[in-house]
Amino acid sequence: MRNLLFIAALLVSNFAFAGQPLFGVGANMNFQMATSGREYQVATPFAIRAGYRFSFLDVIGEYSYIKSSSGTEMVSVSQSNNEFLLWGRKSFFVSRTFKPFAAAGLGSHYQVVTTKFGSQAEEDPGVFEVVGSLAAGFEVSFGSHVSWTFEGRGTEAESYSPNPLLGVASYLNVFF
Amino acid sequence: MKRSRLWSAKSLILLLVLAAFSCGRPGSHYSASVYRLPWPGADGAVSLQDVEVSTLSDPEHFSGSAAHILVEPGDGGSTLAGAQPRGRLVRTSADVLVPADYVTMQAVTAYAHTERLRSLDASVGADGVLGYPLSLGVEVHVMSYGQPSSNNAVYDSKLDSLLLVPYTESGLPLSLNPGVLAHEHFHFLFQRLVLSHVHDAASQTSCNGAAPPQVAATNPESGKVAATFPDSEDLVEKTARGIPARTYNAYVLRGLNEGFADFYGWVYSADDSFLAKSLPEQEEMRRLDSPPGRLPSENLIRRLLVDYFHPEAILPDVVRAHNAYALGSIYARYLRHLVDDLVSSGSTLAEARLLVTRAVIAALPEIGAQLDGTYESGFLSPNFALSRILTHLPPLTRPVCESLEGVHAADSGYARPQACDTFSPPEVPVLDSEPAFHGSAARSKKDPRLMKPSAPAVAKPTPTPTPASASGGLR
Repeated sequence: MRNLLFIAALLVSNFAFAGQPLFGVGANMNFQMATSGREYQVATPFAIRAGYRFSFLDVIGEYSYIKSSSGTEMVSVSQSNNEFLLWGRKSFFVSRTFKPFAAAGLGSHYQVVTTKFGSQAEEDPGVFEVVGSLAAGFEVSFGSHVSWTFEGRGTEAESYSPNPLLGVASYLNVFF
Repeated sequence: MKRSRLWSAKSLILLLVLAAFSCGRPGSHYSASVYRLPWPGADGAVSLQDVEVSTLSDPEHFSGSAAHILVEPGDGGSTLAGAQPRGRLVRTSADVLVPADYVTMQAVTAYAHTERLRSLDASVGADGVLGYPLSLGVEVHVMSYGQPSSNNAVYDSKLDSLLLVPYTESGLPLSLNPGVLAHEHFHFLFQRLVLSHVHDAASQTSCNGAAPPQVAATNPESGKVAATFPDSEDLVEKTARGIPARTYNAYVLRGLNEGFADFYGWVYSADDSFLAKSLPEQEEMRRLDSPPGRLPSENLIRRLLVDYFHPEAILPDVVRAHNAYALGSIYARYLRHLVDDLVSSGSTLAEARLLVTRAVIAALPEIGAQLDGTYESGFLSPNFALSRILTHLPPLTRPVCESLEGVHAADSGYARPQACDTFSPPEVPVLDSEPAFHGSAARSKKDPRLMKPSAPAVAKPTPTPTPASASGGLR
């Protein structure tokens, strides 16, 4: 957590004076392998983004969260995943309203497992792991303050399955 | 502006590098060997504990030197078939791997118990009997008599695999139940040491894979069924005399297999009612510290195999298979009783348990050898296996001998232990009438499953299920 705060502080101090602030909210859709290894399951973490748009690059911080549970009446296992990514995104001009882009992100994630066994309950936070991600997509602008982005991405982390984890993401962005 | 861009780009690179090196060591996620699992304590009660599992070399794929575990596998012909599983485990700062979903918890727990059971095998003289790693399936979709099965665990002799079927009740899931896993583990041993002598598909494909019909262990109506059909008594006797040896022997062998497996489950779990922790309705029939009762004679077993509703016919395979559990409970309780008797004679519980378990394992090859060439023609005495076990025990005291005399069926085949030759046991009546342990429900027409037996099947990866054998189910 301290690393992320450090990154966020650095981000603000270095870019705040030069860029256009943006805020985005959306959902990711990750295609993760089922525990059986037989099929892919769709996981849809909720995500928020905040960052700055510069003339040559967008710099965006992203936080996503998802929780899943499984078990029986006596035993249940809940897992939540918290992922932080710092994206650098380069857009390519096609028109004023449609811009394809490519992006690279680096960050960290950690998981928390809550296990209930009868009357016993334990919460185990996992260690932080490095996350790296590459994405490509397009942005459709609606005037100068609102846009919608859609991207495909591959995200790598040691405990992700498969690794890299493939997914898509859709965001509604507001520029200030 | 140009300087600002340069400064921003450098900062971004710096940030990415910082983030890249700020977190965990690459390749270390699954390097721990301690797992947070539901695990039995010294008193047998299961709770979440940190458990060392030293041989699980590939935890993400549930694979190590003790077992290979597949999730939702299918019938691959002679082995389980399925995709490589992807376990979800979260590593804590204390280097403990915590299962992050229920399936992973089941698989890792089953693996951990298999590792411990391998050690138990070695300590009771069964080292080297089984070829490791064993094959296990979790969340296996088993078809039993045309219906999807649940709440069962099955050793499948054709696949040489333990199949853990989805659990839907409110108790301890079968896949997390130490006694149940030990019970099923014993079926691997019985298959190797005894049933491998039997080249009879019927004895190995009979149905106890999953969800056979429920028959009460004891029933106040017991014995009244025959009275309902007084004219059929001669026909019953005639059919009983004509029971084929292989049908009779398959029944006795299944009783031995299930009974000894229940005893092994108790030895491992130290819990007399381990099965009821998952399946409460089994408590009365399977609890181990209940009085063993008395073994039925060979003649009575023959009569028990007759379908009283159709006295000219023997019971359907599915009913015979289920009834064998009641016979098995006598064997299990006999061995449990023997442990208590040895403790009463001065042994510690640990010593007595080890002695009896070693004697059981030592007797298994002798039981198997007895079947060679006689399975199709001879009739295995219900006393035979217990007599062989007793020969592997040290001299027994008089109270122990007296206690055992009361359990053995009073027909031929009981060889009194050498140490018991010096005293005369009290006269015991021959148990040759309907015993309490077979309920009339076994002959009820109300349950249609009784009348339509079909082999259990493990769902194949392809949509069409294929029959599979199941030589050692849980119930």
